[in-house]
Amino acid sequence: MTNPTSNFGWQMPTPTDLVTDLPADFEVFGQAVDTSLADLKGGTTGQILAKASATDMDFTWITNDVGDITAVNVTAPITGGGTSGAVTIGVSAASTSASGVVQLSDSTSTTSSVLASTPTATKSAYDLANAAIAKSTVTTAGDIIYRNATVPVRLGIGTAGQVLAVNSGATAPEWIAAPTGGGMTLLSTTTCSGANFTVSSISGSYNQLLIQVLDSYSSSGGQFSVRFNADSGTNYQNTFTEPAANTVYPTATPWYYQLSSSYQLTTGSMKNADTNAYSQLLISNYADTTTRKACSVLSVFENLGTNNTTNVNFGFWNNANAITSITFYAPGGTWTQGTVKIWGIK
Amino acid sequence: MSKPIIKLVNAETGEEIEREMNNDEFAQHQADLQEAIDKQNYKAEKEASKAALLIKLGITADEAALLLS
Repeated sequence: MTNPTSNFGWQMPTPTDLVTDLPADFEVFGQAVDTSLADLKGGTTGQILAKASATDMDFTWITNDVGDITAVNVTAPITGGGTSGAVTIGVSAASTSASGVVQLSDSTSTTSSVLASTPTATKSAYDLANAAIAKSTVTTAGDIIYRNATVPVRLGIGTAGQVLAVNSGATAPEWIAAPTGGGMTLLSTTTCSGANFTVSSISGSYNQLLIQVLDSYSSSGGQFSVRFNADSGTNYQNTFTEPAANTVYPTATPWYYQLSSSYQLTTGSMKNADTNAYSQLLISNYADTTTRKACSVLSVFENLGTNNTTNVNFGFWNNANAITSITFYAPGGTWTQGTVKIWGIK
Repeated sequence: MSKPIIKLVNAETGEEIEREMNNDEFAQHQADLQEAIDKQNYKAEKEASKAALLIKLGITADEAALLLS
């Protein structure tokens, strides 16, 4: 029995063979057929046969998913594609110059230019913006914002010279006229020199004048004094005291009264650099035009470096005119050093 | 003979002028000087009188001050 079939090679008797054992021959033949057709067994509804390899009769049952797609063509940001076999595709990451897929982020602080904001992050930003003061609250240059009982509101810019204050109900700021009282204005600063010097054109816009004679002395010594409006008449009256210098124990200090042709700023002899004197004269009603002018002086000087002396005096200029000029005297000599400052006090 | 120099200051403008005294101002200056001398003489005379009185009383200035305190 060596008569294989022409295609599969299954063994069967030749036409002339004397069959001596037909069952055995038939078993050989049948088993060969069974082996060859083994891959055709099985499968499920709708499946089709497909070659499992190039070997004859090597089949496998597969799902019938073969459609009519012949190619997968892609454009950016899709990548991959193909015309046969398993086709793989992808998507490129997005950037500021190309579209693509992005990663989401809840961050409200990142500065990334490739992450995308989630609704969580967007809401955080929205909540902050929603709680902010609207730009439209102020409308004019110089406006300011303050809170009333419930919300921020606008306070329009005030007018020239106004100052900011709290209203009478202590509930809000408001612009008001600048207070007219208080404050000192330096009207003049003069270096002491010459036999005398005069400061004129003194403004009458203040309530009081404060005259400071600082760090001064003269070539002649003697007492410093002033005249108002060049009045050299005996119209200056003052009462003064001059405590004894460098007194360890208190002693009785007399008060003196004098009527003079000038108003005394200091007592003692301010002739040496060591005697630099400081005096201040306050004229309370200098611009008044109906009454005499009340004056008071505080002064201190150091006499040749050994005796520290003070002087207090008060009095008046017996004249109703407003004081517009003051002449400073160092009788018998010239001013060697010092500065005079004239302040207007509201 | 030149006269002493004085200075004039305008508080409004800050302008300063230095010049010699005129005749009237010089006369006043002389009068002021004399007044200052008179005051010094008066003060000196009083001091001398006080010292003489203390000698006459036989006490010191401190003792006199004590009496008056």
